[in-house]
Order: sequence, then structure tokens, then C-alpha cells
Amino acid sequence: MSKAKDSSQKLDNLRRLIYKFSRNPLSLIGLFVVVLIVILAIFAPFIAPYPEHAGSFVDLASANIPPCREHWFGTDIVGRDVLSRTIFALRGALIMAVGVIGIVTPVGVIIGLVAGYNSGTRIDTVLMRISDIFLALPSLVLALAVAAVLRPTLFNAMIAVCVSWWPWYARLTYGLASSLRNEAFIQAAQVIGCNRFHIIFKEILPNCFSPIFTKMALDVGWVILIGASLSFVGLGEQPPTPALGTMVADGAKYLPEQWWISVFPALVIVLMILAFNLLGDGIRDALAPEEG
Amino acid sequence: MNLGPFILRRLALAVLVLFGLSMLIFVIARVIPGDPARMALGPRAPEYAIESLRKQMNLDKPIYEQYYFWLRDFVTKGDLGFSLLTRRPVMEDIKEFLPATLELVIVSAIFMATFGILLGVLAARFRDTWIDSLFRVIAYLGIATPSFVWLVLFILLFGYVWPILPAVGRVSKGIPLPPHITGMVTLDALLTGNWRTFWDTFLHLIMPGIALAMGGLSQAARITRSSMTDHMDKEYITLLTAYGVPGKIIFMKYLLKNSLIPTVSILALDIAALFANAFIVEMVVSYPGLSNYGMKAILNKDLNAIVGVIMVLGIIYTSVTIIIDIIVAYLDPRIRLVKRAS
Repeated sequence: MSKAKDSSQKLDNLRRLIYKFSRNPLSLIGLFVVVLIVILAIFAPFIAPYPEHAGSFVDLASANIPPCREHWFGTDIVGRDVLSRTIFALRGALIMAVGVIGIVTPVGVIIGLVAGYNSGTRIDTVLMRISDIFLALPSLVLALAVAAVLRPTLFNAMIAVCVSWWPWYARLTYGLASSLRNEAFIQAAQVIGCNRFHIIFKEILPNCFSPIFTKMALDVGWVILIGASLSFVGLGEQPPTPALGTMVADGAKYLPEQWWISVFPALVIVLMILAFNLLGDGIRDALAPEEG
Repeated sequence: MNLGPFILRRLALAVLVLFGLSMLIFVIARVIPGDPARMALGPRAPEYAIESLRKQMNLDKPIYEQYYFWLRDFVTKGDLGFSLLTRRPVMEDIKEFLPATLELVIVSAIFMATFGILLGVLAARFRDTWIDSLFRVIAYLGIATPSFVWLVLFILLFGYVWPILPAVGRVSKGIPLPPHITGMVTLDALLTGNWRTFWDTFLHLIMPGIALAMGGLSQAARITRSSMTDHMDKEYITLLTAYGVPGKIIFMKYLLKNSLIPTVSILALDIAALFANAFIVEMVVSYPGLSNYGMKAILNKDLNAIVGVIMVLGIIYTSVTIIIDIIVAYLDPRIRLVKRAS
């Protein structure tokens, strides 16, 4: 295969994926909202109407104003604009999502690859048992435990979620790698004399991309959910930096009179997770092999 | 057929995993910054008191010795040490709080399973109609919304706007607690015929229970629907219809059973996840359950309690997974055979 043919094939594949993806209106909605969220998060200081409210700011004279023209989401009990804080809080959520998935995927995948390549040997059993140990607890519990014993910051919350999340990727990759292990083309490569690294990273890994990528896309929503749950109990970013879960928790005390302090961040959480889930579903449907 | 050795293997594996879990949690709990002895006694306690408490808690010994002591106590006496928060043996605390959480989880699980499957079946039956579209919307929302958001919503709606459900705790003031038979107040109240108590505690369980159940409910519904629609297109169904087998029989006898296999797996995972999500929900409504206790322990760095709660949760979670694995292996013989081949 000449290089030119390879890359034009890849371009065709990409075009096909994009076409499949765009057939589904829900996925497009998800994509649109996700892009919107990312733009809001990146340009938060320029888009938010009161950017200074996202830090330490107190203006008791404008406290507890219900949603109105100047404050679309109202103000909280120290007078900060809820809309601006929500927009800034998007940043924390996105950073957590990107960070967690960015760390967990390489680590989990490499462990899974190594275990899968050496499937049937000691290395395999040891690695998989270790990941089973981490899987013995629901992710939220482990994340809560780890986040609570570390100092409550965004970074430590990320570490906590990473600790509980990596086994899923290891498991997935292990399953794929170990079933590919016995395929003819792997054995052929071994016979020719390719070394282990080449086989693992150039032969097995590319065939695993699709399910791994799908999982990554679907996981973003979950990570955001866990992140919101962690910050709801106070284990994420600390005040005055706004975080969505924290805002819901703080505002919950003032239900139902000042409902807007809690309800709007909660709605944004739901919307965000929903959008990422739709996007993830769309990617999964686009990458899935067609049924005959 | 090979069910026996399958079960044995799973059990042995589970024990191994629990060992590893205990080591992991032990290390995590002990590695935290901060001195538990000092935190237990307060900042103004004299040095010698802290030292003696530290010796008593074996904190001055190397970590593997601490682990050994802990393990020995746990396995031989079921003793998980003392809780610094409640000043009682952790085992007693767990015995007191676990039934409460079990109650909540059971109510939640029943709701989740029943309505999840029901919803999924309805959506499959009426697929591609407006019911199906409505279902998809509800399912997406259900999965995307964290349980605490549902809870806050419920509290707002049914606790304030239309106050029919209690928003806090487990039992209202003035309602007598039933005698302690199982520890689960609804069950005990039923068993002793105490209707008022039963009704009151049941009401308290509704909001947190449903809030917990929503996520898993939506997932179960989605899987049921997709599994059913997959099966509905299969040839054996067409064959049965062609033979004139009535629709209802096809549905109940063939379609339902086969479609439930993946649903059962997902339900199991979700029921186990209920224990995790209960952490947050219990905190919000101040429900005196294990998760609330665990949450407080974690936030106050009560080492023994943290380890104890995590171990109990780990045991429960692993047991649930094993039971489900066994059920699924029983339902689907392919799994038993395939496992052997690998």
C-alpha cells in the first residue's frame, strides 16, 4: 500500500464518519451544545456579564435578587451574579473531564495492552487482579474516599476520580487485546521478528481505537457527573472559585424562596451531561459497524 | 453443569479481591496528612494524652504491623476498631446504620427494577410512536441528571410547593420506633403491626428512594427497550407468529425472558451503584444510614470507621456482583462455557 492511498483512505473513512454522525439530529444538538459550553468556558471572562463575581466579591445591597434583566439567573446571598458564576464554573467541570480522561486513557490502555499481549501469563493475572481490586468498589465511593483524604482541591478531586476510573479502560483494552492476540496477523508479525513494542503499539493498538474512543466520548458525561457529586459534598474546588455542584449545595439551603441559586446551576449540570451524552452516543453510533 | 466450579472460582476470586481492597483502603486511610489522635482529642489536648491514644491505636508502629493487627481483629473477632467520632466500636455503628441504608437501597432497587423494565417494555411495544419518543426524552434526562439534582427537585416540589412528603430524616417526631427485629424500621413496623410507624417511615423513604433510583431506572429502561427491539426482529419471533402463537404468549414466554438477560446485568451494577449514590442522598436528607455515617467518617478522617465502612461496602458490592454473575451464568449457559475456554 502506497502512502498516498493510505492517507486518502483515511480521509474517506473520516468523511464517512462525519456523514454518519450528522445523520442523527440528536448528536448534532449534542455537538452544538458542547461546542457552546466549551466556548463559554474558554471565553468566560469576556462573556460573563459580571466576571469579577467569580472571585471574592460581596455586594450585600444586591443580594438575593430574583432573575431579572440585569441578572438573568439572579444573585446569590452575598450579591454575586449566578449566571457569571455558572459560566465560570463550567471551566472546572471541563478541566476535570479533560484531565481525568486524558490521564486515565493512556494509563488504562497501556496496562490493558500489556496484560492482553501477555494474556494467560502471570503478568496478565496480576494486572487484572489489581484492576479488579479497584473495581470492587463503585467509582463514586472510591472517588469520595480518596478525595476526602486528600486536601479538597480540583486537582485532588481529579486524582480521586482517576484512581477509580482507570480499571474500566484497562478492562476494555485487555478484552480487545487478548482476543486480538491470537489472530493470524499477530502471529505473522511475531514470526517475521517484530519486537514486542511494535506489535503492541503498531498492530494491536490501532485496532482498538474505535471502542476506546467511543468509551472516552461516553465517559465525559459520567466524569462530569461524578465531579458535580464530589463538589456537591465539598470535595472539589473550594470557594470562592465557583463549581456547579457546590453552587447547588449552597443554594439548597435557601430553597424554596431563593430557588434560583440552586436551580440554575442544577439545570446547567443536567444540560451539560445531557449534551455530552448525546455527543457520545452519536460518536458511538457513527463508529459502530453497520448491521447487515 | 459447570456451575459448581464456576461459583467456587468466583468466590475465591472475590476473597482475593477483598483482601487487596482492604490493603488499599488501609494504606489510603493511614497515609492521609493530619494526626488522627490529635483530631480525636481536639487541639487543646495535652501531649501525653495524644501520645497514649496514639499508642493505643497502634499508630506508632510501621504500617504493615498496623495492617496485621487490623486484619487479625477483623477476621477473628469481627472487630473493626473504635470509631473516633462516635466513641463506639465501629462494628456496632455499622450494625446500627446498615439496615437503614439497606432499607433505602431495597426500596430504591424495587422501584428501579419495576419501573425501568416496565418503561422499557412499553417503549419497545410501542416503538416508533410518540410513546417511544417521550420515552427517549425521559431516558436521556434520567441518565444525565445526578441523583442529588432529582432529590433537590423532589424536595422543592413535594416538600414545599405541595408539601406531602417529609424532607428530612427517617422518622417524624413523636412516632414511636418499632422493636428492633431486623433493624429496618419499615419491616419491623410491618411485622409488629404498627401501621402508623410503617406509613411514616415509608413516606420518608419515598423521596430519597426515587431520587436514587432515577439513574439506574433510565439505564435499565434503555437496555430493556433496545434488547427487546433487537429480539423482536429475530427470526424465531417471526416463526412463532407465523405458527399462530398468540401475541401475549410470544411476549411473556419468549421475548421477555430473553430480553431480560442484559437488563439483569445492568440492574445489578446499578443496584450496587445505589450504595454509592446513597452517600450523597443520605447526606442531603440527614438520613441516618451507613453512607451518611461513612461520609461523616471520611470528612472527619475517622480512620477505623472509614476502613470499616469501605470494607462493608466492598463486601456487599462484591457479593452482589457475584450473585448477578451466577444468575446470568445460569440464564445464559454460553457464559459458563466461554469462560472455560479462555
